[in-house]
Amino acid sequence: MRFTPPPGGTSFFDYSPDVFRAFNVVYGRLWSEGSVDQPTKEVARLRNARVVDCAI
Amino acid sequence: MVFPTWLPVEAGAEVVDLVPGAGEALRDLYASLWDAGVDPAVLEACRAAIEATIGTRPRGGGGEADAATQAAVRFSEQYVVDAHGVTDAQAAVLHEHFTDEQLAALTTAIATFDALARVRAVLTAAGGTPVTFTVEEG
Repeated sequence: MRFTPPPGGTSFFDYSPDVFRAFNVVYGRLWSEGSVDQPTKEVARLRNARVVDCAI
Repeated sequence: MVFPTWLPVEAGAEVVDLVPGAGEALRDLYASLWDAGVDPAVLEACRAAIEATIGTRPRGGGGEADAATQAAVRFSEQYVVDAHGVTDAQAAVLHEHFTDEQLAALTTAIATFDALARVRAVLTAAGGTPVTFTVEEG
């Protein structure tokens, strides 16, 4: 692995917890708020991941 | 991130504020990026390179950047064009110039700059040029 998580962390982004926390707040808002239902957002997420060849 | 858009927002309003709470959260994230231990000049160079690569700003000539900035900019451009194309050699160079803490913040900053530039590109009022592509199913 090019980037290993810090001790006790589960993600490389745990090296920058304040930024990671702020990112997750944005991500959570986008999922939980707005007029688009979650299944539609999930379809978009999966399609996006497939287009950029992200294994999820 | 105020720009002319075909979405129904009032002049001067932020598109992201159409989603309750998202604008405030995004502004908090954006501010945190500049206070996370990465040289702001490096971040600005990455932001400029990303926006130029996506096409939301002209590519500047710029002067000769130091090795750390060059490594970060190349990483940014590769991220935009094809994230899978980042090589082990590129990662090794990044580790020479940045700590793990800085790389975590830098990568999140690049992801944020990329996302914001793409949002602007797709929602801006000016017309675009659609590209056709296929996605392998299965």
